[in-house]
Amino acid sequence: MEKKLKFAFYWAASCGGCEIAVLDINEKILDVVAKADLVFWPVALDIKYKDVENMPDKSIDVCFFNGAIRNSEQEHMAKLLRQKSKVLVAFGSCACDGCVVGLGNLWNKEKIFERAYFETPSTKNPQRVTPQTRYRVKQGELELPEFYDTVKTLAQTVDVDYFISGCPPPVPRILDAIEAIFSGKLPPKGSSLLLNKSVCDECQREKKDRKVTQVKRIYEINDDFKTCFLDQGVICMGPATRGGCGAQCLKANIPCTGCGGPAPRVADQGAAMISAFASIATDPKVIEQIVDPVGTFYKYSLANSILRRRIMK
Amino acid sequence: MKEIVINPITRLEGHGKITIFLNDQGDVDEAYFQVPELRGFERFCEGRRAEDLPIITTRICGVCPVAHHMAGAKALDSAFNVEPPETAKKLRELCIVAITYTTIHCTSIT
Repeated sequence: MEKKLKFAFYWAASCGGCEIAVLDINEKILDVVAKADLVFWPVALDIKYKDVENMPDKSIDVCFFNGAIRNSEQEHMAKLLRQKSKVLVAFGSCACDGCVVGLGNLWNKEKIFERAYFETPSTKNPQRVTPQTRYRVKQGELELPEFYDTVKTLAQTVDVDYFISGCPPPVPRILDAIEAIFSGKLPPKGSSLLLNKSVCDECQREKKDRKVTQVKRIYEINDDFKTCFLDQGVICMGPATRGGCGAQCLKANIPCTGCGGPAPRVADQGAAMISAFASIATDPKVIEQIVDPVGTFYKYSLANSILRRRIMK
Repeated sequence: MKEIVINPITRLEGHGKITIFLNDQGDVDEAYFQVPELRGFERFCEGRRAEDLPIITTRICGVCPVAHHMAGAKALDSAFNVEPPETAKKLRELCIVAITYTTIHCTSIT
C-alpha cells in the first residue's frame, strides 16, 4: 500500500471559516483521508500542543496554517509547525495578508485592550482587569500568551512555501491545491495556489469608459446588474485583487472587497487600487470623497502592506 | 499540588485552555478556563464605513457568520432608520434557519 501523507491544519488568529472551507469540499474529504492522515487539527481531533512538540522534525508532509500572528502562542505555533513540516501553506487571508484582524495595526495593544475590556457598552469592569501573561492564584501560576502591538502574517514570522489566500479560500482552489499535493505537481516554492489573474479578469460585468466623477456608496446607486461597479462610481477592489474565486461576490451583485489579497505581480494591494482609482477619477476632488481609505483599500491586507501599521507615539 | 493543563481545548470553534489544580488527595481544588485569544473587533470596527460592518463582523466566527451578518444588517436598519421590505425579512429568516440552525448544527454534530 502506498504510504499515506501526513497533513496538519492549524488556526492562529482566525475565525474558523477556513476550517469550514475545508469541510466544504464535501465528500471529497473522503479522498483526502484515503491518501493522507490528519496528525493535527484542533477543530476535529484531540491532539495537544505537547504532542506536536514531540513529533520528529519534518514529520508532517503538509501543514495548512490559517490565522494571523496576533500573540506569542500563535508565533510559537508558527515556528513549531514550520520545524515539524516539510511544506508549510499559508491558508486563507489572515495567514497570507492579515485579513481584517490586521486592521488592529491601526492601534496598539493598549488601545485595543481599552476598547475591548473597558469601553464596550456591554462590559462592566470597575477593577479594570486585563489579561496578564502571568497571574498568581492561590494554587499556583496561570499563563496566557502575550498580546502583541502588531499583527503579523505567517510569512513575516516564518518561511512559507505556498500561499492560498481568500476569506475563505475558494473551494475549487482548495481542491486544486490538494490535487497538486497528491500528484506531486506543486508549482515553484513561494507561489500562490489561487489563479494568476485578477478578480476583474473573472468578472462578467461590462467595463465602459471608466470615468468616475463622483464616489458612490453601494446603497446610493441603482445597480443595473451588468455595468462595472467602478463605472457606476462604486469602489470595487477587483483590479487589485487576486482571482480564483470566480468573482463570486460580483455574481451576487456585491463589489469585490479584496479578500484574495494582492493581484499577481502586485506588491501592495491598497496602493495598486489607489493608483487604479486615481487613473479613472476625473478630478482630485473625487478622491476626497472616499470614506475610510485604509478600511476600503487595505481591508484584508494592511498587515502585509508597505504601510503595515500606524506609528503610535 | 498537582497541575493538569489541557491545551488546547479541541473539537470546538475557537481557542481555549484549562488549568486544573489537584490537592494532595488528588481531588480538584480549582479549575481555570482560560481564553488565550483576542483579535480586537471591538476596536478595529471603529472608523469603518457603516455598510462594511456586516462584511467585517462575519469574520468574528466563520462557523456562524450569518448570525453576525444579521446583527450587522439590523444595526444598519437602525442607523439608516429603515424598515426592510417583507421579502428581505423572509430572506433573512431563511438564512438564519438554513445556516444557523441547520448547517451549523449538522457541522457541530458531525
